[in-house]
Amino acid sequence: MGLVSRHRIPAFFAALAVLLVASVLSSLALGATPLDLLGALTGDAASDRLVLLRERLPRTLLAAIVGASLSTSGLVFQAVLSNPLADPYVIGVAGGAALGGSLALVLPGIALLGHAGVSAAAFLGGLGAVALTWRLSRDRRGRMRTYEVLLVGVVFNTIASAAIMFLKSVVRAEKAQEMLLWLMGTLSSDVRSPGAILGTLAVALFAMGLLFASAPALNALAMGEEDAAAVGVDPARTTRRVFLAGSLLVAAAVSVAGMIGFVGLIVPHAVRALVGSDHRVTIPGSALLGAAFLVLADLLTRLMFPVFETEAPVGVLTALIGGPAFIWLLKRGGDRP
Amino acid sequence: MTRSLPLLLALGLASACKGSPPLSPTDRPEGPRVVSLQPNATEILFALGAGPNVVGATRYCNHPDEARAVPRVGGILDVSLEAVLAARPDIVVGSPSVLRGHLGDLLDASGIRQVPVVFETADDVEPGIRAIGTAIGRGEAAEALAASYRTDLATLAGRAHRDPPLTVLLVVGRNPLVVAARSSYLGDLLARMGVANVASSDTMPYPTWSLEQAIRSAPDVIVDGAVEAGDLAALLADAGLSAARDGRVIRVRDEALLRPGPGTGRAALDLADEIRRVAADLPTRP
Repeated sequence: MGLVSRHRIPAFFAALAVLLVASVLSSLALGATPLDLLGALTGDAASDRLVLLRERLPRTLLAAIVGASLSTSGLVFQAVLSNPLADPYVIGVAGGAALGGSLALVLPGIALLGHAGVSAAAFLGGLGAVALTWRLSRDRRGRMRTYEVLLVGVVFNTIASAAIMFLKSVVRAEKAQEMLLWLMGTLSSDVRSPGAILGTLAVALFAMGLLFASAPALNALAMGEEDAAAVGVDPARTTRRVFLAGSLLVAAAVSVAGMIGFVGLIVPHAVRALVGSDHRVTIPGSALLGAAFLVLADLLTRLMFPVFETEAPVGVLTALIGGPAFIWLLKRGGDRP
Repeated sequence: MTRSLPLLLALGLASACKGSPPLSPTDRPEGPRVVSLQPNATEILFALGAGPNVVGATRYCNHPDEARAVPRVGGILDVSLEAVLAARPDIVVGSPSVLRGHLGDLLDASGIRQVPVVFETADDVEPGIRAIGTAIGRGEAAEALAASYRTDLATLAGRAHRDPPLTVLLVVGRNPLVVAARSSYLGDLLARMGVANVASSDTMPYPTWSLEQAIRSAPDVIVDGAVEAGDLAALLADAGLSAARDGRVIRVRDEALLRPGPGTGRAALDLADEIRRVAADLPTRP
């Protein structure tokens, strides 16, 4: 059980909703430069209106979707792999998406498609990596072996990282810099058309819906496969469904924002510390808190612009904040999935 | 804390929602307000006497010295769209790849004129000067600057030529060792001044070399154009290159050489003269 008692769970969700709304409003109102919010909304300040509707709004929406996706996928991977260090990238999907996106940035034909091509290649690369991990980590009866998933995922990520480093060493300096920025995780790329946002949202909602529907089964799996089977849960089928839905979330997130780290590790731990391990609560809780966390982290990168004359990639900030926060949670005697 | 959060948030939002103040008459320089997204373009704008018109520039726009005081709008790849719009430019100058995509869409929607310019080779500078000069209404100054640049390039032809040609290694990065090959902008300048570039790659403009490759190339003269700190001469002397041992390493002091711009011709002429000077005592090979 977490810090929040059972009968206060509705208040917990209300607080998360308020936090998310406050984060979104702050992200729209604040940024690298002052903005006349009223003028932007009424149309009196044309330039500010453009900044609000064409820059801050799509970026905020993407941050919320990506944050929710990474947090939720991290939570369920920690559950099915029974490993509190599992994050969205551990199963190889990150390596595959990163390699796909990197190839798209440097290969002449695909590079012409711009960031749409990069996103598509990253999405396909991520799913391809998941398929490979899945295939290589099954036993003769087709059941997924969790330790092999982790091993294959880690090895695949290592191979993908080596391939990416090779690409960076042979391309022109400007291309290498472009690759580096994307790999660090950023919400300031050109991927913010209504189509891209709606597409990412659709994938995220579909996958999260699948996961929420699997919450009771995940709770049963936490008791062990035999006990879960005794209450009518098919462990292999549940694991497969959760694995694939979680992978969809990660592939979608990486395809639009690159490799934003630590969100999928720290947010699930924070949620479990607050409300325990009931997946019917932690899945939506992780989604809400992850969305707010990334929206605020992205806002922070924009607020830093006057100081550093650049908006640091948000993945850098999530690591700098998430790392110490994770250690603090661990020292507090955190939780287990 | 939880109870005071809404109040803090409201105060924060209220203080942030003032927007930028309207432009006063003293904010309006004579001529258009320009944001430059390329150091080369910034250099040209100042060379045309339009420095006061530059209201935004990248953090890499550090030449001339006055450009360092221009408000920053980000880097080359990490341009802040908000900062560009907040500068209220009439014109934005940048490379086609940067002006394409979301930034270009926002500028179009704002009615801000975009001037795409390419600065990849020495031959790109003249049209770049004209495009920028025409856009800001300084066509005559641009023609004069372009003519001066053209004269410098013409003077450069064969400036350091010997028979047979001197061999030159031009280093642009120390660790790893990155060299300027024939297909690069710097390689083109070496070719114009009549020296032979030992880095003969025609596909990669700035390949990474091993020390072994540097040793085997045995250049007559080494040009150190690396911006990072370090003693290239000592490194290469330790590796056994005679040019380094015998003091024929030239450190590039004028950054105008390292990117295409109005000062390129003059900087290249100085480099050619320096190459001739350090190689003066070198016996002619049969």
